[in-house]
Amino acid sequence: MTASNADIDALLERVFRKETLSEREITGVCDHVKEILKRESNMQLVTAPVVVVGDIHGQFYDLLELFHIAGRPPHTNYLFLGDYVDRGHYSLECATLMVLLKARHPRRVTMIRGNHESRQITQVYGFYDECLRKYGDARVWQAFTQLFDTLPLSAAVENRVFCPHAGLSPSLDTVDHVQQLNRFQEIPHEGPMCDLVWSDPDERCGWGISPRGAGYTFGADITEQFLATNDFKFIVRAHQLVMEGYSWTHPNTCVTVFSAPNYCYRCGNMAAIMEVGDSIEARPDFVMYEASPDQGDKKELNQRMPDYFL
Amino acid sequence: MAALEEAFGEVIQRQITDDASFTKWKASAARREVVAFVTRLNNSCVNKPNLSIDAAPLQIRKLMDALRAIAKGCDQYLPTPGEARRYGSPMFRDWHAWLVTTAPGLLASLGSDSAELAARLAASFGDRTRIDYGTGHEAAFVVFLLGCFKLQLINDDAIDSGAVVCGCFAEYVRTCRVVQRCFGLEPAGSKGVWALDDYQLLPFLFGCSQLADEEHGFGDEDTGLLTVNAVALSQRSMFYECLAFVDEQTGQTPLDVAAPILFNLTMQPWRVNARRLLRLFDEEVLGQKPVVQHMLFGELLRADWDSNTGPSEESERLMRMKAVMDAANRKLGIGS
Repeated sequence: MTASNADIDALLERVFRKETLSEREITGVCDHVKEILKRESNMQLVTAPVVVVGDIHGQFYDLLELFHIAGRPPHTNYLFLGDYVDRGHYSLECATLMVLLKARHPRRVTMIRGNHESRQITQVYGFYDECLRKYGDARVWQAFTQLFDTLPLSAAVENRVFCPHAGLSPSLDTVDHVQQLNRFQEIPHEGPMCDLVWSDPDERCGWGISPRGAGYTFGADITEQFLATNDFKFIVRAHQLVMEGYSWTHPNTCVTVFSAPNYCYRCGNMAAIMEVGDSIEARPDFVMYEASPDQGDKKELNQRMPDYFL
Repeated sequence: MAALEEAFGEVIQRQITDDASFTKWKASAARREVVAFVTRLNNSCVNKPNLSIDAAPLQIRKLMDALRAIAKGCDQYLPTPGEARRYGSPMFRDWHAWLVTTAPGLLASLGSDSAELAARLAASFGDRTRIDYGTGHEAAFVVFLLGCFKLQLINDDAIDSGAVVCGCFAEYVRTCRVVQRCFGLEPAGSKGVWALDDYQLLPFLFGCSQLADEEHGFGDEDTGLLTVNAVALSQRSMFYECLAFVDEQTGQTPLDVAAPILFNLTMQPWRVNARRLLRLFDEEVLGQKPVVQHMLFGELLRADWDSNTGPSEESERLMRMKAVMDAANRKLGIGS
């Protein structure tokens, strides 16, 4: 698809109005964005100022709330840390919106891969079923999961803040190691690519086996070593539910940001985003927010079919 | 602090560690034994309301008392406002250590000195490291009950009269909710809106069977709300208690949005639901490696498969992962 900006703007407006796009429209934009993403690097460089966003998990109405709070691209730059889909009702809408924003503002919107951007996980946690329910077949899911294979594995804000979805890897001492990975594949069950999207910071020192069954746990000592080796200031990551929306697991060196408020309507947690200002050396700002009072018309949940389907 | 593994590692171990042992577990007599026991429990509670502690037979009353003592134990470990926490309160770890030390004494009052049984009770309320709770912990409690039966702490009549399910199991779920609320436990392996309530499965199964011959269809499809008052009916069935808990958690959100699968259950005949939920337990709890990798085996539930299988793809993966980790730790001068 050679989409003009006007075409993409028209699609974006429809998605902001909560319309469902046709299968052909979605697969078209996925093909287009795949080509953009392929040219990005495993650790994509991002410039400040930028707003860093954690897990979204299909909470479309809360994602719209986020854009109310922090502004829409291109007026605000964004770095999304992955986990756009699964668990919520609107994985399709969230993924579609992300991909369209990337298509329209490729240099102002950066999106990286989370552990849920995978064929295996989405078949268990909701996105696959949602695509089947909304389109009647799996082609839209296939288009998205092919695109997921091209997502960068991490980002670095001004080369000073390291931003993976989840954490570090014992196989990755340096940024060069990250850049050398071949990321164009389904997330493997082990190894550095798997670790970046699965590992968790921990109170215990050193490396540990993660109770999740994938990735590792890493202590503050590991974080410090990685920061020193690569001249980073701190790590920002997502991947874990946080009651206050953000939490410094390793004081001053590793912060978790979670951007799905009142997760799945029941966890009662705040969401947060991290704002990095013009100067990366200044302390980042965390903006906390609650769930949007508008959670959509539930009539659109299960029965809804794209227009051309009716 | 006493961790479960440190206190009871001699009598109880994890045995599902890789794809090979998981495959063997799936076809094992141990799994069939757990399914058969849950099926028996499910049959025992058909059309029976919850059993109050005063009306319960002596041994069941003692078990319910033990569960109440476990719930009461939370009061000594209340999270302090403003404490540092990501999600669940780290005070859960102190409470859990208390539970590990207290469990043998609680069971002594029932006439048991089995360390394995105490370990199984202590394993039923959440994971100390991750500060979370999921259906695997519920399954651990079922195996605890199976152990009670094997050690003759509860007899056939206590089971088949429904007293174990409608008295003891119902009290267990209430205890879990006290603990979940107190420490804000994270749902383990959350499926979000596609879960029943993100923590439990079996009280939905038993609760449906308790209502087997009653009218069904009390969800209003237009509003997505229930046409019955779940709290007022909570004596009648665990299912209503579950609905009341979900309602407490999700507040203003209509049930068909917050938990569409659960809402769907309220529209189907109870016996149909029970059949489906029993299959769900077998396939989505006992049939899932991330859940059963934590299952504990000893004398009361034996890993009855040949564990001497030689290296599998999965155990080789774990060995490789461990080697990478050990090398990285050594480089930093950390013993592992």
